[in-house]
Amino acid sequence: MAEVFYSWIPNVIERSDQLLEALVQTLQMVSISGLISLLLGIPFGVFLFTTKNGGILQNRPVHFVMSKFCDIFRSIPFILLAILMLGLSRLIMGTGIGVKGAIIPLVFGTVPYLGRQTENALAEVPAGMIEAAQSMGASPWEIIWRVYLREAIPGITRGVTITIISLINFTAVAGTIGAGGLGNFAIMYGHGKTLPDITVAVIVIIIVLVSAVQAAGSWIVKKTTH
Amino acid sequence: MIRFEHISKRFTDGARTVEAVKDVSLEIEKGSIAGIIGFSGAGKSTLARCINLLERPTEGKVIVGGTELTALSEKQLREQRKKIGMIFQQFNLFASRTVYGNIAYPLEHGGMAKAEIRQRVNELLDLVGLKDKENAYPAQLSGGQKQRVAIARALANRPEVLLSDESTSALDPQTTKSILHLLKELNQKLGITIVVITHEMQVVKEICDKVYVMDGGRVVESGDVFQVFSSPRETITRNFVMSTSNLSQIDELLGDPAKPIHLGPDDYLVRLRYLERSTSEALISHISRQYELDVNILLASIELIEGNPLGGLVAVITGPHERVRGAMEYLSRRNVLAEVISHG
Repeated sequence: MAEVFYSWIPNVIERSDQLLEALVQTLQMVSISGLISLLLGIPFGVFLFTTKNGGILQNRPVHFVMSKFCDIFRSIPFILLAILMLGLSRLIMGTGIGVKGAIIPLVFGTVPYLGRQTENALAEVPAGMIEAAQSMGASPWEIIWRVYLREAIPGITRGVTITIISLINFTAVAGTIGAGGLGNFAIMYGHGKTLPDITVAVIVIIIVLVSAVQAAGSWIVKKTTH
Repeated sequence: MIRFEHISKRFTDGARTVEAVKDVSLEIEKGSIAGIIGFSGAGKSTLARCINLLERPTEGKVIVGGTELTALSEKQLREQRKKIGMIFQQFNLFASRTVYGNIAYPLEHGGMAKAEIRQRVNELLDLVGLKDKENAYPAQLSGGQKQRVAIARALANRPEVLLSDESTSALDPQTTKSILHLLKELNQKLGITIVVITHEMQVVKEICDKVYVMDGGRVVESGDVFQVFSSPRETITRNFVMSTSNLSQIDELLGDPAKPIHLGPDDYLVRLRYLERSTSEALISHISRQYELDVNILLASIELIEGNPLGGLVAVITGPHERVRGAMEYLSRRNVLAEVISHG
């Protein structure tokens, strides 16, 4: 059995320690920047939505600035954004490379993305529910907590799922400019040293990761939709 | 209980200004059921939303229960809104909460103990007859059940006023009846003042004491329901009366190319409308005997409003011209609006 594997994927088995290390780095990058993006992106989306014209916290200038911030950061291809963020990363994290160096670009790449996803999720909450809450004397903050965020749980979960999946994608891209992780591993060995079994192994691992995230997301959506 | 003083509401959309409500003043008595009726776009929903200031009027004062709402801060206004319940056409229940959760919603975070909330929700479930549904989600309920939950939720804080914005318009006729019946019962049991916004004449006839007819942002006619609908002054009011009566069918029958109604030389097609409380008299047999006429009733529509008959009939009267005219004059003296539509 072992021989069979060895003949199929000799380089993967030879560098299995490094592969494992790369996987751990990817998981670290995804979970740390994912958590930060969640904490920043969801409130960002809530304000993006509620400051809109006719929203419960209507505020034109604030909405304009947030919306433009979103558009600008979402239109920059991630590879360029990562290069652009190197300076800021050195300033805040003290480094532009490795897992630590990848956090800042990843957060800047995903917060506007999750923000828009959250905005869309809140837009799906029927306006009538908000009106009903207002007629019962609810304040804007109560409406955000007790109506919007609660009613939009399935929609926000969908948004978070897509965001984490693209985050996994982004970490692979960040790997090409020295962030470490699976992307870096595949570029260095699979591409650099022409060891195709490594590239294939990385792809399979990423497919498994993405499928697991999607399955978890779909399960939560199912459980929270009534 | 509710007083509007010169309420106007304008919406501005770029350069375009729409005046949805124009200088409306009215007063709704405590414990009554008032109906605001109008076709869509008449401004009735906007006017109703001015009661709890979901729409803030551009001009005028809104006074509910002695408090001038238009003079309050946002925070004070939110407190006052708890005294004004509201139900909607689309029910607007919280989909992520169970029936229990929906009714408990306005009570939570208000300093009420869990056990107290439990007790109050149980009372409300009893009141609307949904004891066995407390763990269901809105998506599992029928339209009528959803509206009952919405009513319970609106009553949770023991409001003095209940606003019903087209609350039966999405329901079938039978369910509509049961919801209207419930509203009437709540009005009698709790003494709550109810304002019903509707485009259906049936709803007003069924439960309202007073009616306000709206057209083009103004209240064009108002008063006691029987009086307004038995002798409508405005065309719009007449249209509402016609909408529930089948008497207008005669116009279609006359226009029918198959000519289902054939009038002979002595036949007079007449429409009679009862204006006052007079239908208890045997008018038809009286004119038939007194004037020696044959009366053939084609269509009849008599409704009971506040226990009084209202409506009319279309009939073919056969006889010599002078006697028919005599009968028509007699009917007019008895407060029946009699008109000859056509004759042979």
